[in-house]
Amino acid sequence: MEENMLSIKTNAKLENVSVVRLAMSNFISQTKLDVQDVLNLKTAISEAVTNICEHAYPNKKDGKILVNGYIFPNMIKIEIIDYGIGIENIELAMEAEYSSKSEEEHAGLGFTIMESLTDELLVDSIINTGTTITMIKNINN
Amino acid sequence: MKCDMEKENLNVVIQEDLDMNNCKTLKAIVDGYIIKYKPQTCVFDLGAVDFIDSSGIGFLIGRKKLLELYEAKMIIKNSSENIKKQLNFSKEVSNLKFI
Repeated sequence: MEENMLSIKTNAKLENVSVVRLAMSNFISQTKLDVQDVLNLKTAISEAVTNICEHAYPNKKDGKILVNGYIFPNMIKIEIIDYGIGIENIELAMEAEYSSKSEEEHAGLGFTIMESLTDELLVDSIINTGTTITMIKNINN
Repeated sequence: MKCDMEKENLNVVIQEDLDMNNCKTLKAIVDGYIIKYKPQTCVFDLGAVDFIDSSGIGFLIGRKKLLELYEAKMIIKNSSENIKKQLNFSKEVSNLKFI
Protein backbone atom coordinates (compact mmCIF):
# COMPACT_ATOMS: atom_id res chain seq x y z
CA MET A 1 0.00 0.00 0.00
CA GLU A 2 1.19 3.51 -0.80
CA GLU A 3 2.38 5.92 1.90
CA ASN A 4 0.67 8.87 0.27
CA MET A 5 -1.28 9.73 -2.87
CA LEU A 6 -2.49 12.74 -4.81
CA SER A 7 -5.15 12.76 -7.49
CA ILE A 8 -5.87 15.64 -9.86
CA LYS A 9 -8.69 15.68 -12.38
CA THR A 10 -8.85 18.57 -14.78
CA ASN A 11 -9.86 19.63 -18.26
CA ALA A 12 -7.44 18.85 -21.06
CA LYS A 13 -6.42 22.45 -21.60
CA LEU A 14 -2.88 23.69 -22.13
CA GLU A 15 -3.29 26.35 -19.44
CA ASN A 16 -3.76 23.55 -16.89
CA VAL A 17 -0.49 21.78 -17.72
CA SER A 18 1.65 24.01 -15.49
CA VAL A 19 -0.84 23.60 -12.62
CA VAL A 20 -0.62 19.82 -12.83
CA ARG A 21 3.18 19.65 -13.11
CA LEU A 22 3.68 22.09 -10.22
CA ALA A 23 1.23 20.27 -7.95
CA MET A 24 2.75 16.88 -8.74
CA SER A 25 6.36 18.08 -8.39
CA ASN A 26 5.52 19.62 -5.01
CA PHE A 27 3.91 16.34 -3.98
CA ILE A 28 6.88 14.17 -4.97
CA SER A 29 9.43 16.58 -3.51
CA GLN A 30 8.40 15.39 -0.02
CA THR A 31 10.22 12.10 -0.78
CA LYS A 32 13.94 11.35 -0.70
CA LEU A 33 14.26 11.94 -4.44
CA ASP A 34 17.04 14.40 -5.20
CA VAL A 35 16.26 17.74 -6.84
CA GLN A 36 17.36 16.57 -10.29
CA ASP A 37 15.07 13.53 -10.14
CA VAL A 38 12.14 15.72 -9.07
CA LEU A 39 12.86 18.02 -12.04
CA ASN A 40 13.08 15.04 -14.37
CA LEU A 41 9.76 13.62 -13.23
CA LYS A 42 8.16 17.07 -13.44
CA THR A 43 9.28 17.31 -17.08
CA ALA A 44 8.04 13.80 -17.89
CA ILE A 45 4.62 14.57 -16.35
CA SER A 46 4.42 17.82 -18.31
CA GLU A 47 5.18 15.99 -21.56
CA ALA A 48 2.45 13.42 -20.97
CA VAL A 49 -0.20 15.98 -19.99
CA THR A 50 0.73 18.21 -22.95
CA ASN A 51 0.37 15.21 -25.29
CA ILE A 52 -3.16 14.65 -24.00
CA CYS A 53 -4.11 18.31 -24.51
CA GLU A 54 -2.74 18.22 -28.05
CA HIS A 55 -3.83 14.81 -29.29
CA ALA A 56 -6.39 12.98 -27.13
CA TYR A 57 -9.52 15.02 -27.80
CA PRO A 58 -9.43 16.43 -31.36
CA ASN A 59 -13.21 16.91 -31.53
CA LYS A 60 -14.06 17.55 -27.90
CA LYS A 61 -13.62 20.67 -25.81
CA ASP A 62 -14.36 19.22 -22.38
CA GLY A 63 -12.06 16.18 -22.40
CA LYS A 64 -10.62 15.25 -19.01
CA ILE A 65 -7.22 14.32 -17.66
CA LEU A 66 -6.73 12.33 -14.48
CA VAL A 67 -3.30 12.31 -12.87
CA ASN A 68 -2.64 10.05 -9.91
CA GLY A 69 0.59 10.20 -7.94
CA TYR A 70 1.52 7.44 -5.47
CA ILE A 71 4.45 7.47 -3.08
CA PHE A 72 5.68 4.03 -2.04
CA PRO A 73 8.67 3.43 0.26
CA ASN A 74 11.03 2.70 -2.66
CA MET A 75 9.38 4.29 -5.65
CA ILE A 76 6.99 6.85 -7.04
CA LYS A 77 4.28 5.86 -9.48
CA ILE A 78 2.49 8.42 -11.63
CA GLU A 79 -0.55 7.49 -13.73
CA ILE A 80 -1.69 9.91 -16.41
CA ILE A 81 -5.05 8.95 -17.85
CA ASP A 82 -7.25 10.28 -20.62
CA TYR A 83 -10.52 9.08 -22.12
CA GLY A 84 -9.82 10.22 -25.66
CA ILE A 85 -9.22 8.69 -29.09
CA GLY A 86 -6.29 6.50 -28.03
CA ILE A 87 -2.97 5.95 -29.78
CA GLU A 88 -3.21 3.88 -32.95
CA ASN A 89 0.45 2.88 -33.17
CA ILE A 90 2.24 3.17 -29.84
CA GLU A 91 5.62 2.05 -31.25
CA LEU A 92 5.50 4.74 -33.93
CA ALA A 93 4.37 7.38 -31.44
CA MET A 94 7.33 6.52 -29.23
CA GLU A 95 9.92 6.88 -31.99
CA ALA A 96 12.31 9.79 -31.47
CA GLU A 97 11.40 12.96 -33.36
CA TYR A 98 8.10 11.49 -34.64
CA SER A 99 5.15 13.86 -34.57
CA SER A 100 1.63 13.19 -35.84
CA LYS A 101 1.34 16.95 -36.38
CA SER A 102 4.43 17.45 -38.53
CA GLU A 103 2.96 20.60 -40.07
CA GLU A 104 3.11 22.23 -36.65
CA GLU A 105 6.19 23.05 -34.63
CA HIS A 106 6.80 19.96 -32.54
CA ALA A 107 10.14 18.49 -31.64
CA GLY A 108 8.50 15.06 -31.53
CA LEU A 109 10.47 14.25 -28.41
CA GLY A 110 7.68 13.80 -25.87
CA PHE A 111 7.94 10.04 -25.42
CA THR A 112 11.74 10.08 -25.81
CA ILE A 113 11.98 12.52 -22.92
CA MET A 114 9.46 10.59 -20.82
CA GLU A 115 11.40 7.35 -21.33
CA SER A 116 14.75 8.96 -20.62
CA LEU A 117 13.68 10.72 -17.44
CA THR A 118 11.86 7.83 -15.75
CA ASP A 119 12.97 4.37 -14.68
CA GLU A 120 10.00 2.68 -16.30
CA LEU A 121 7.34 3.91 -18.73
CA LEU A 122 4.25 1.93 -19.64
CA VAL A 123 1.75 3.02 -22.29
CA ASP A 124 -1.61 1.31 -22.46
CA SER A 125 -4.03 2.59 -25.07
CA ILE A 126 -7.39 1.48 -26.48
CA ILE A 127 -8.78 3.23 -29.56
CA ASN A 128 -11.73 5.49 -28.70
CA THR A 129 -11.49 4.55 -25.03
CA GLY A 130 -8.34 6.29 -23.88
CA THR A 131 -4.73 6.02 -22.84
CA THR A 132 -2.98 5.40 -19.55
CA ILE A 133 0.67 6.29 -19.15
CA THR A 134 2.35 4.90 -16.07
CA MET A 135 5.70 6.27 -14.94
CA ILE A 136 7.88 4.69 -12.28
CA LYS A 137 10.75 6.46 -10.58
CA ASN A 138 12.78 4.48 -8.05
CA ILE A 139 13.80 6.11 -4.80
CA ASN A 140 17.38 5.20 -3.96
CA ASN A 141 17.81 5.51 -0.23
CA MET B 1 9.48 38.08 -22.41
CA LYS B 2 11.37 41.12 -23.62
CA CYS B 3 12.49 41.68 -27.20
CA ASP B 4 14.97 44.42 -28.00
CA MET B 5 16.78 45.30 -31.24
CA GLU B 6 20.31 46.55 -30.67
CA LYS B 7 21.96 47.52 -33.98
CA GLU B 8 21.70 44.32 -36.06
CA ASN B 9 21.07 42.03 -33.10
CA LEU B 10 17.78 40.89 -31.62
CA ASN B 11 17.95 40.18 -27.88
CA VAL B 12 15.16 38.00 -26.53
CA VAL B 13 14.94 37.64 -22.75
CA ILE B 14 12.57 34.84 -21.82
CA GLN B 15 11.08 34.87 -18.34
CA GLU B 16 8.38 32.25 -18.78
CA ASP B 17 8.35 28.45 -18.62
CA LEU B 18 9.07 27.15 -22.12
CA ASP B 19 6.06 24.86 -22.40
CA MET B 20 3.49 24.56 -25.17
CA ASN B 21 1.05 27.01 -23.60
CA ASN B 22 3.63 29.81 -23.49
CA CYS B 23 5.51 28.90 -26.66
CA LYS B 24 2.49 29.59 -28.88
CA THR B 25 2.50 33.24 -27.79
CA LEU B 26 6.30 33.58 -27.70
CA LYS B 27 6.56 32.20 -31.23
CA ALA B 28 4.17 34.79 -32.65
CA ILE B 29 6.03 37.67 -30.99
CA VAL B 30 9.60 36.56 -31.76
CA ASP B 31 8.76 35.67 -35.37
CA GLY B 32 7.22 39.13 -35.76
CA TYR B 33 10.50 40.73 -34.68
CA ILE B 34 12.61 38.45 -36.91
CA ILE B 35 10.48 39.05 -39.99
CA LYS B 36 10.21 42.79 -39.41
CA TYR B 37 13.81 43.60 -38.42
CA LYS B 38 15.75 40.76 -40.11
CA PRO B 39 18.48 40.67 -37.44
CA GLN B 40 21.95 39.25 -38.18
CA THR B 41 22.07 37.57 -34.79
CA CYS B 42 19.34 36.57 -32.36
CA VAL B 43 20.36 36.00 -28.75
CA PHE B 44 17.95 34.07 -26.52
CA ASP B 45 18.65 34.74 -22.84
CA LEU B 46 17.29 31.77 -20.88
CA GLY B 47 18.68 32.87 -17.51
CA ALA B 48 15.20 33.31 -16.03
CA VAL B 49 13.74 30.11 -17.49
CA ASP B 50 13.01 27.48 -14.85
CA PHE B 51 11.34 24.90 -17.03
CA ILE B 52 11.59 23.62 -20.59
CA ASP B 53 9.96 20.63 -22.24
CA SER B 54 9.83 19.32 -25.82
CA SER B 55 7.57 22.23 -26.83
CA GLY B 56 10.30 24.62 -25.73
CA ILE B 57 12.87 22.62 -27.68
CA GLY B 58 10.57 22.80 -30.71
CA PHE B 59 10.20 26.55 -30.22
CA LEU B 60 13.99 27.08 -30.25
CA ILE B 61 14.54 24.76 -33.24
CA GLY B 62 11.79 26.57 -35.14
CA ARG B 63 13.36 29.99 -34.49
CA LYS B 64 16.77 28.63 -35.53
CA LYS B 65 15.30 27.44 -38.85
CA LEU B 66 13.57 30.77 -39.44
CA LEU B 67 16.78 32.67 -38.70
CA GLU B 68 18.70 30.43 -41.10
CA LEU B 69 16.31 31.48 -43.87
CA TYR B 70 17.57 35.02 -43.29
CA GLU B 71 21.18 33.76 -42.99
CA ALA B 72 21.17 34.92 -39.39
CA LYS B 73 22.80 33.28 -36.38
CA MET B 74 21.17 32.14 -33.17
CA ILE B 75 22.87 32.17 -29.78
CA ILE B 76 21.59 30.82 -26.47
CA LYS B 77 22.75 32.63 -23.37
CA ASN B 78 22.65 31.85 -19.64
CA SER B 79 20.96 28.46 -19.93
CA SER B 80 21.14 26.26 -16.83
CA GLU B 81 22.68 22.80 -16.91
CA ASN B 82 19.20 21.31 -16.64
CA ILE B 83 18.00 23.22 -19.70
CA LYS B 84 21.14 22.24 -21.66
CA LYS B 85 20.42 18.64 -20.74
CA GLN B 86 16.87 18.91 -22.09
CA LEU B 87 18.08 20.60 -25.28
CA ASN B 88 20.52 17.76 -25.89
CA PHE B 89 17.59 15.44 -26.55
CA SER B 90 17.39 16.97 -30.01
CA LYS B 91 20.02 16.45 -32.69
CA GLU B 92 19.01 19.77 -34.25
CA VAL B 93 20.22 21.69 -31.21
CA SER B 94 23.70 20.19 -31.36
CA ASN B 95 25.11 22.93 -33.59
CA LEU B 96 23.64 25.80 -31.59
CA LYS B 97 26.01 28.28 -30.04
CA PHE B 98 25.85 28.65 -26.25
CA ILE B 99 27.48 31.48 -24.34
